[in-house]
Amino acid sequence: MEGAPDTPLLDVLRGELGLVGSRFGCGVGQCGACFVLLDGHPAPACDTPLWSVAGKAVNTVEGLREHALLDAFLAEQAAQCGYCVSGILVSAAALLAREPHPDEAAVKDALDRHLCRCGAHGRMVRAVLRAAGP
Amino acid sequence: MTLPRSLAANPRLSDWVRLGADGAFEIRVGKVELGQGILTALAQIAADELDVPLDRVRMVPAGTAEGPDEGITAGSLSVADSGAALRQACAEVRALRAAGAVEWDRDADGSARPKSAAQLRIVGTSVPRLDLPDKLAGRPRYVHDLRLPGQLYGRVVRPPSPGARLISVDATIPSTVVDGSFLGVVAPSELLAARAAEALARSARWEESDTLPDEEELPAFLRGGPLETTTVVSDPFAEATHRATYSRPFLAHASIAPSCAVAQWDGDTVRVWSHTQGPHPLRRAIAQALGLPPERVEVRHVEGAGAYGHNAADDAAFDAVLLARAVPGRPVQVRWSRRDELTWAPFGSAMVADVAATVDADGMVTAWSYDVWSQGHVARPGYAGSPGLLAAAHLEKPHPLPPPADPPPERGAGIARNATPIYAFPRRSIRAHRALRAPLRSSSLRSLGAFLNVFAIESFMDELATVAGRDPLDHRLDHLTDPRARAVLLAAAELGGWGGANRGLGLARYKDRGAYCAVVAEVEAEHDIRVRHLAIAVDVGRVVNPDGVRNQIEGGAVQAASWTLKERVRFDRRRVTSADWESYPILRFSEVPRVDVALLDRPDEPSVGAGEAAQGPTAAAIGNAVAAALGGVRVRDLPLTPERVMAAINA
Repeated sequence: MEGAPDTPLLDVLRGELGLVGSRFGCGVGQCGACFVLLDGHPAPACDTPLWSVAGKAVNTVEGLREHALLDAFLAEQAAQCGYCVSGILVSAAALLAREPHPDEAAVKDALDRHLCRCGAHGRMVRAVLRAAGP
Repeated sequence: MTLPRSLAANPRLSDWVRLGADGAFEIRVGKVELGQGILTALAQIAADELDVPLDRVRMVPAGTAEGPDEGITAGSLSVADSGAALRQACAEVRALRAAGAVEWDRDADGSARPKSAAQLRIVGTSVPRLDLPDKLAGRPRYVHDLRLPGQLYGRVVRPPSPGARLISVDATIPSTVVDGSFLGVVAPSELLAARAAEALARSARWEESDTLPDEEELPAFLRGGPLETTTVVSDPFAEATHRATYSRPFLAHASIAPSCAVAQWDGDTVRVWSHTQGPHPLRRAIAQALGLPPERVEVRHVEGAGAYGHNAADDAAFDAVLLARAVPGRPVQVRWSRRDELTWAPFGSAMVADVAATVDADGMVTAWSYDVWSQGHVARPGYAGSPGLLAAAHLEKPHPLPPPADPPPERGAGIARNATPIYAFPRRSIRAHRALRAPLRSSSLRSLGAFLNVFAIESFMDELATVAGRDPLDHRLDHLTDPRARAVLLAAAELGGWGGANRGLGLARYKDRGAYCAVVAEVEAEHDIRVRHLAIAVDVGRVVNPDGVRNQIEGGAVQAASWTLKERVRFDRRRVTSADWESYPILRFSEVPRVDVALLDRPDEPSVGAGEAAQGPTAAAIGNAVAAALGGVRVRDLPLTPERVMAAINA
């Protein structure tokens, strides 16, 4: 990627790359709506400058369309407005990658940096557990 | 037969239903998707009445260019209003098609009968939401995702405080728009727009003044007048044996997405893409603010994040209109900042309520008195004869924002919403007092006055039960004659393990004619207040989509738990200071209770909305559970923070 080194990664994703699945919520990493995976670790794209991701793998929610999480979230209807969910899917994918069978407490802990205003938390936790399988 | 209200106002059948070129029925409604699942529920209703599979109906987003004008999507009325209209319209289209018609560009006449409950196949089933596959997969769906050819990006530089006035600014900064105290920029990218807005903000000089009330003395401010008093009921009330006062602070809608819109001018007409709750009212408001005929303004609905009432969606739309005017022909997208969303969007008003009762020797209430003070709960586009758009109040030729109004009683009132207890008290005396000074802008927040009113009524019922030495459930049942209310109360008690420790009850029928909802909360009150479980029973009449109702009730309850435990708009005498998620915290995953919902299906009762039924009962149940856990120590001022609880214990 070319671009001003201090451009927020989120602007590059949503702008030049047209990957709008990562969403702007607060701009300072407090809400989780813009989370992406940087070398497998969840991080806010809104206050990550482009220069800091040079040489790193960036995975966005668009890369999770074949992941078991997506079917599980649909099965649980685990959203209302859906705006916060893409960041939550990213953090959930990271959790399942390092801990394939988390318990409920571990799921809540992994998602605790994410805010949901609609109150769909319970469904999302169930969906992550469903994706993990028995 | 009489046509449903929304159909009588928009009788043209082809406004509601058309046959697309691909053989699918295109359904247009005036209500909009806010994440509440309304388009799915209405698609179910349409498909059932048209007698076609669900995949042969296509919901077309609302807009002013075509389809019915149904005002605002609010008040949990979409299933009742739009659903009833669509059911009748589709029944007539079905009858016309059966008679061989291939088009129906004619008015509804009430000649066809909708199906009976027993004939419905799709209504009553948990059809998955039509919009979720896109939203979960990260495909473009929100207005924030719009990328029109030639699109530019705008930012507004808001004044630093509600009473601020612009003194000077460096208008030579490129792509700047200045009109009175309205400042903005337009740039080719988000980054450049942000930089230009920062430069503009640095160059601006403002004159500020202390216009806000004392945050620690909100009840005194609300009572201080001038006031407009509405008497709801005025039975004689003699001597109170018990009294208490309850309050809530200003609350923010706090959508996760900052508001956003796109506008594009073409000569003297403008097209707007907005997540507004009312495309038609917004169109009229924009036209009024600009002095244009409404025909020169087109509004198209595009989905946004959850709104939870009147947030900044309409304001952002007018911002986009003003900024796009500087670059004719080019679409301009304006996205608010988190700070502006939390400080400039309308708030749900602070409220305070005095409750008093006369009780006989058996503990039965013989007379009930209730007074509630609040700013108005409606400042939507077009209210009180004003455009009601934030930027319009900042222009060189301003349209100031009048004090917020209140919906009339026939629309459920605002301050007095659910101020009338559900119980059969022999005498009732109820008044609502609207503060006519509104230094903080307030407007509809989910459930309006019902949140505080139900909290106050249901808390006081528990206090009276305690005084009488009675079980709160029995005490309620003894005052309750409505069988549907008794049914939800008993169902919630069973689901929530009533009789166990640290539990509290809450009950209401939303707007006195909507959904019945009862909640049993179980809390932990040790170092902190934690809600462990919410058991909820709800009766929304005929259930259109069971999982959709559950989702709305669960979400409404969790949001209400967040309001009850944590939320409070902070300000000093000059500025709103809760401008980010650290200063305006909401409930997190680790704090969210388990929620169980029992649906009491009533197939022969009309369907009513579920989005605002749970808020008041949830707050009351939590407050009552906290009092139970603290051995009767009661916190009557929301939110129920650890500091407040400690203060109540030590009082």
